[in-house]
Amino acid sequence: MDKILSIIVFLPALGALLLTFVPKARKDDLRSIGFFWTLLIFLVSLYLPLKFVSNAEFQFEEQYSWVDSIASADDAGAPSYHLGLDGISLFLVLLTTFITPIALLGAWKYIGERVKEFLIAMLVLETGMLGALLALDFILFYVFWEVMLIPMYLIIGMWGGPRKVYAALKFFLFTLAGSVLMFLAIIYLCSTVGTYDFALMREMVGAGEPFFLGPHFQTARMFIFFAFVLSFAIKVPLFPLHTWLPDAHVEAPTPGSVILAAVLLKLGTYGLLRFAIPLFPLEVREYGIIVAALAVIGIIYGALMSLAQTDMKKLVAYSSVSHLGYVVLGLFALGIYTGASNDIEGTVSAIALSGSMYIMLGHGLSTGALFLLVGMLYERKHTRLMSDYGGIAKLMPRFTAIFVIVTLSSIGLPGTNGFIGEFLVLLGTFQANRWLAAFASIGVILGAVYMLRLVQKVFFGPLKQETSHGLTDVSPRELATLFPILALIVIMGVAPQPFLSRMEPALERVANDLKRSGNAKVNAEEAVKPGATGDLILNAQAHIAPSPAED
Amino acid sequence: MNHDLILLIPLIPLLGFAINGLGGKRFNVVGSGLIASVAVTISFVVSVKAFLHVRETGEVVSSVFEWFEVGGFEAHFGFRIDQLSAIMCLVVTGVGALIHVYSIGYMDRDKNPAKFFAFLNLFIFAMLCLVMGDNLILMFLGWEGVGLCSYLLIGFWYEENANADAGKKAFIVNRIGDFGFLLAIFLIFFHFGTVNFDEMKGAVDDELENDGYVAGAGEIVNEGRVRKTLFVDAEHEAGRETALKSIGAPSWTWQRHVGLGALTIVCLLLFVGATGKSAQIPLYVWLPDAMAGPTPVSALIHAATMVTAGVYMIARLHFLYDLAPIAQSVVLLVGAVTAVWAGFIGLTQFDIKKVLAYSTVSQLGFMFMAMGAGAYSAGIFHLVTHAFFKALLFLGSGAVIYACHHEQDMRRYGGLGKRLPMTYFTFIIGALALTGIAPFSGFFSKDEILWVSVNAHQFLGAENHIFGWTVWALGALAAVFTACYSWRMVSMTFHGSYRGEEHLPLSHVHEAPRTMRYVLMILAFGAATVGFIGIPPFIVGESGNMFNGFLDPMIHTAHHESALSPWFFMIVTLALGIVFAFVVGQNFVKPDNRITNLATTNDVVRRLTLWSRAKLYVDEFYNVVIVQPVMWGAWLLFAVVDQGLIDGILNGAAKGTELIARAMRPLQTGELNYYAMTIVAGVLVILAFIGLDDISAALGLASASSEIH
Repeated sequence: MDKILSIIVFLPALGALLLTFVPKARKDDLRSIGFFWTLLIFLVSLYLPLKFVSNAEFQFEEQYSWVDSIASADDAGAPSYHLGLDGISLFLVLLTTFITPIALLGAWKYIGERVKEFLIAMLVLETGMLGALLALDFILFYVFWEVMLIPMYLIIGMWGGPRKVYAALKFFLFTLAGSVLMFLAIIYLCSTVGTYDFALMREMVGAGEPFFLGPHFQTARMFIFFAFVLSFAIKVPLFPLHTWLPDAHVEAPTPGSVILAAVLLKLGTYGLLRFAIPLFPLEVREYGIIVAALAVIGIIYGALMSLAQTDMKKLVAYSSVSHLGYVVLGLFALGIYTGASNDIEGTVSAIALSGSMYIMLGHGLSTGALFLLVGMLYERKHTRLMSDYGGIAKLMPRFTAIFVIVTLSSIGLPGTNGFIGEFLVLLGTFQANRWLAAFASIGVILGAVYMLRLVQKVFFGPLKQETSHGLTDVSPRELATLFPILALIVIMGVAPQPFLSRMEPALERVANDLKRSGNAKVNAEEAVKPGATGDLILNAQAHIAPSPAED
Repeated sequence: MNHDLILLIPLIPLLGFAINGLGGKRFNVVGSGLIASVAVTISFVVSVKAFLHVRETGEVVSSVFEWFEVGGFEAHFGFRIDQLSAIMCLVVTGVGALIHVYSIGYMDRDKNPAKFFAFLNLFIFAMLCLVMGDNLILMFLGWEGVGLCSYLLIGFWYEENANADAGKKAFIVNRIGDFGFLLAIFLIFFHFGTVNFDEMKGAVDDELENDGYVAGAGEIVNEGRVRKTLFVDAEHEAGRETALKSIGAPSWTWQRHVGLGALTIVCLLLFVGATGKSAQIPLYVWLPDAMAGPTPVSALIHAATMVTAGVYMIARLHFLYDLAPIAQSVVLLVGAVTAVWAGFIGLTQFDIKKVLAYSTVSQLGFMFMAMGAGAYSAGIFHLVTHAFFKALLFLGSGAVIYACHHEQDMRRYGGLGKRLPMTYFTFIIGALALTGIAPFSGFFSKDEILWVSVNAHQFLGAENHIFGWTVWALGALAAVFTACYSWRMVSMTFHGSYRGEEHLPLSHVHEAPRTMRYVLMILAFGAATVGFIGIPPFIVGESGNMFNGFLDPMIHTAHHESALSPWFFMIVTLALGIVFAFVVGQNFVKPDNRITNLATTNDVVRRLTLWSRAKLYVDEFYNVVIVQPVMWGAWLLFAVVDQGLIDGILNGAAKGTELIARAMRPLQTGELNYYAMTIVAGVLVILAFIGLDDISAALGLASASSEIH
């Protein structure tokens, strides 16, 4: 099984290929094949946690040469097909393979037309997501990143609601703007440093490579850092780049929303954690406060936006802005630590980064479930306005119970997965900057306000007779869709350690790199003091073949 | 005793929750009620066993399971039974079991009894996590869990908007308090590096010893002198040294980091959490509304157990409060003011459950007075007695409400004593205990609190003798209010003549079922006698007070040397209670029109009455100052910033691109001549850019170009 990652990445694409041979008209067969195929992929992906060793290294690595002609003779510098998995990507891969069959099962009837095309789009999307999560080469990452974009654009644009064209275009242009920036940054970065390989590049940072840590490339570094941050922040989405999200969610069909919320947004935060933070430690320290402040604004702002909504789906969409704000805050917690104590620094980063990772998973489950639930209501009544419902708990007691449990996860009640992540992020951030953390904690109050408002308006109160038509309780298929998520919500809340201890080494490595770079910066500054030999600079010029455009 | 046995205490109710929750409609009220009651009873039996074990051996029983552990932060499912949690477990499972049994009768007409009992069991589980947790995080889990159950049970009859709204309000107001609790946890971890109670206490003790102070010797340790190394990281320590050197005296800036200032902030933040859960000013507003839930819920959650969580938390962390005199004063003052404030509102309410709700807020104020005065065991003692008599009163009111077919307005009661003798008798006992008439339980506990409050001689960390008298006066006033609303309630309900004939003929009013009556009798017995476990030391000597004696290893009760006579205060408060109870009780045995008619009273009384009846307009105030601004702010932000500004810029940019494109469109004519012309023009423009020099050079016209120059 040394090619397990490739197998997992390309199984969905293979499924898409198989589907092309199935006749269009046999919709239920198509759905079954799609569902069982993705379920099979999930089962295959379970091999990963079984064989995973809790350390900080990349595992199951595969590397093949690919486009040698781009690079110079130097072999290591060429873009290659390089896949690998560590504690950061492990659970996101599992989340992806877990949520895709659920999205397909949950939307069995939701997609009534062009079922075949839809399933193919979903499968290609899965390949894109998995590839982006596993790629350790920048060009490969970029290719998969773009592969994700097209199917999602089609899913929104073809199977979406009344304003689908506007929403799809907005989604596409936003993301593309980010992608273009990122592509420029990748080209510049990789050609300057001399490798397209992420793992190698990370080693170089660790070894004190002057491009990353030296004083002479500050401007270039800043631009690359912000290009990365910007393109990932659009995906997250970080305030104020978030306005594509509510539109995309409202128009997207249920399975599209589920995938979008559960996985696609996480690729933004994954990108920050994988690339932007480890490669630019100095910039994280320098400009981290800006990103963190935007994250905190996003937490409060997203919650307030949720409070102002009348459409359930839009409410949930804005709540994602709020939740993802916590993730970004946790990622940059170490960046905002201004003190000098190494002890605190270790605590801050380990706790906050673990919290961020945990929210990524938790939000994927709870918000994915919320979109499924809202979609189920929509299938019954063809409206998403809260005011069109009211008192339906009476007709749908089991559905209500499920919705309330998911709500509890979303508002971070202890005992659910939502609590662990939110608590760790705030705890970690508080150790670094208490005012920012205190301000962010207001989101804990607001989260309860908007979610309980939703529950109250839709499920409680007197039942309006005219609304009750067609409101049946959860069907067995729907229950089968939701049950695995519910189970995980509780399991991850009560027994989080198996998850945390697998992700911790990889996160600690990120934290340690950040910490070491803090020391390296001090050394570098001392080295370039007047009179000191410019060892680092000489070294830099020797190492970097084409001299960067630095004055 | 096998330590893991104590896990049964919380887990059996959890199992009960699972059975009733999943069993759903398969069980009728008796079936589901029995499952739930038996579960809690088993917990009670194990609690008794654990209690006896602790009493005999003094040993702390604990059992720990892994929860989570990241980067030096540890939070585990650690349960422990010590003196304090043993008492709490007995109250929660004992009173809890009785209320479960009572509910079998009370809920007999309900459509979803299994759901009700499932939630009730879940509540017991969460409450036990709260009191048995050996760390702040497990306590917080219980803390939020009881809040959830409270939310679910207040809105149990969700088909009425008012009930669901009340549940939501309770949850959100509690979340505001939890915000403070969370920040306190963060700050505690920052300073202590642990959230485990024992480790925190150990750290504090070490510090006190290092500085030559011995904790618990009745000595108030000066702020800022205690903390040296424990609460500071290297950076702050260095900062402190520098600050000390430069100014040579304590200053606010370093005290904020180094001194016990941090501890004061911790204690105040924790107290914010307590004001939410335990309904104190300014966050008490949810509790009166919470009466929308079924009456057994009001008795169990909103009187006997959950609302005392804040009091318990302070008792659990008393070693922090001991070192934070400023926070103590705040607790004491807020408690005293709340006691009076809520008592005042309770004077004029007509809904029998609302009277009891405000009474609960007021009594919780008394408990916080004790906490603020550092008399933790007195506060816990009042917690215990209150659990009995307030549960009794709520269940008694429930029996009346049940008898009157869900009528809660006391204006439609009157003279029910003859129809409901059993309820009447037990209610009187409850009222006597609540008023604090000797020898019923409330007498001993309330007297002790007033006694310790008059002896509070520090205000905000400084000697202040007026402070003790002030809070005592407030407490005494609250006690007078207690007597007034209690006996007004008794008189309006049970004495005089029946006033509800138009709504429900008196002949339809019947005593509640047997299960309910037996529970009332047991609770009445408790309310009458439980006070004897805490007879004041000045009567029976230090060793005679069993309650303080039992708690002593956990919470040491310092002996008060006071120039005042305890007998004097005891007699004063007792006399006040009796006089006002008698006067008010007589006054409200009247025909209906004189109860509601204010025309005959003088102006001041009328105005005060109207204010009290309007609940001092606090809800209206919060609505205008907080709720509406947040809602409108959210709407405005959405319309102006999100839709207007951000999307405006984006759509504007898109529109702009489109306009430019449209403007350029005529250029694409499709005519070959036109294209050829533009190509030539383009070439010329490019040539112009490159420069004539280069062109001429390229064409070998160097001389020509030089002539031009």
